[in-house]
Amino acid sequence: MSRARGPLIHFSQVSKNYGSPRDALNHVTFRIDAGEMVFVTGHSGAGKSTLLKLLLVMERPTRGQIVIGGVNVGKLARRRLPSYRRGIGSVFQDNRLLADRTVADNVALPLVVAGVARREIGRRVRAALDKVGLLGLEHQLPGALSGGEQQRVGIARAVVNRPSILLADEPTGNLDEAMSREVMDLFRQFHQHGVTVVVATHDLGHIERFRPCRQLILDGGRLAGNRMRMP
Amino acid sequence: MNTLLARHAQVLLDCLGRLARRPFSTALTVAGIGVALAVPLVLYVLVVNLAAVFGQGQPAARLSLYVDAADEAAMERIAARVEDEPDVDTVVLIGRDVALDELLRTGGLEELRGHLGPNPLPDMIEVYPRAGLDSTDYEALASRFAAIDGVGEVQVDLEWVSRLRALTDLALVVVRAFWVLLFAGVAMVIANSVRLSLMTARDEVEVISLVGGSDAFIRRPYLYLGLLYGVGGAVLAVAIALAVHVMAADPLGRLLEAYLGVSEVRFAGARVLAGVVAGAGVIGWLTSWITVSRFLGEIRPR
Repeated sequence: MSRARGPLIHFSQVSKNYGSPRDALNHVTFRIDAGEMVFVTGHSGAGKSTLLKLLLVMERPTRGQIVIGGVNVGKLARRRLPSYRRGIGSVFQDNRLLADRTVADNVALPLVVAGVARREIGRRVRAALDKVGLLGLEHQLPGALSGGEQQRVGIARAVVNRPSILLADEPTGNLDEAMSREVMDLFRQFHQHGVTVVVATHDLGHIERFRPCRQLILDGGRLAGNRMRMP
Repeated sequence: MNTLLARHAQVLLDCLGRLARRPFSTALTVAGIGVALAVPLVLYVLVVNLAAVFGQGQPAARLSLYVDAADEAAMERIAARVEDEPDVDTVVLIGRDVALDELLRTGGLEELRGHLGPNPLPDMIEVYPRAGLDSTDYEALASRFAAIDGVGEVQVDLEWVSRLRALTDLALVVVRAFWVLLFAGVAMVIANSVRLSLMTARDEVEVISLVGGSDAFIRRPYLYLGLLYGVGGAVLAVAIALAVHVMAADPLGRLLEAYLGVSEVRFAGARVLAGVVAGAGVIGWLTSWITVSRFLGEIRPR
């Protein structure tokens, strides 16, 4: 996945059905260019999480085609999945940190699974924690941290591999206003460094502070709006 | 290559640490495997002792000639007649006093000696024919010996030998079946434990998968877990069998000596023990492989 300009993510006529009569996503088509900042908005149940799960290949589309960095990920072979996911950083609403491992070990995980050398890991983990302002908490367990700090550890883990795409599913869902702002500012920084950022959120307040950005509005599984918000 | 080795060593260490952090469930699993494997191992040791006796060509079935009240000259005369038979290999003369001593000693009845009147046992000649005779040969020999003057009764100790041999053969089959059944049981115990560990680590497995961990990476610690369970359980089984062996060696030795004239009691050979440990390890490894693969199949994208 290059960071060159051009369509990086391309959904065409994508539907996802989990077995209920109604599609979770229904013929959704859009393009995202490399380096864009994109918000996916809509009520809960509109299909935001499904869209992000398709991007991370936690789910495969029922119909339609998803091409990311030139790869048809809907048909991606299982054994190619790990290397695909190493190019994507993801942040979850419930942060999904491992409670029995230290902050440093949590952040190191994407490097460990990729077989990065130990000394290199230490260096990059500290760099990632520095970026999210948590240097010095390496040896804490996640449970000892505040919600906002935990979410920042999650972000450090997502970016430690220097991915070209950063996905976040309701990253501020469990945070108060001040913490939410800090977390969103982090996403802005990564965007400014050329990372393509896709954030699913129902909190429209943040979007006003991000311009230019693109807003994909989902409603009942359909794409109800695709707006470019200029400064 | 070195980094791969280092990585495996690291995983093995992590795995040991993980087991040490849950000592109770680890102990339960290892004990379950140990007890399951100790059963066939103990049986095997018992049967192998019987089988070894036959393996040495012993005991040749023997004929016991009970001699009517005779002096030593009569015994010698009868023995000479017996030795004339070409099928006879060895002849053992057992005077009645020797026979009584032996009986009291092996039977643990030493204190009865004072209460006995005159020795009730007859003089006896034990005849060991050469190997390779069948039962009709024995019958023919017995009838010829019975015709010798002074010989009272001839007893062919053939039936119990062939019965014991048949029993030993059967026991060997049973032991083999037990190996299969209980190794299968070991596989189930390990599969269950590995699955339980996977369930408790479901979050971890999912997160590792989402950050790009390969199936091999996820599988690796559980392969070592299965291996350690298997090897640990097998070592425990060997220890249990050894303890049983130490406790049983004396009475078993006396039994073997009394019936078969062999006093050496053996334990399972090093190759068998190594085979049990290695077999349990391999089963643990394979079982884990299958269990983790099934689990990964459940969380794969659809």
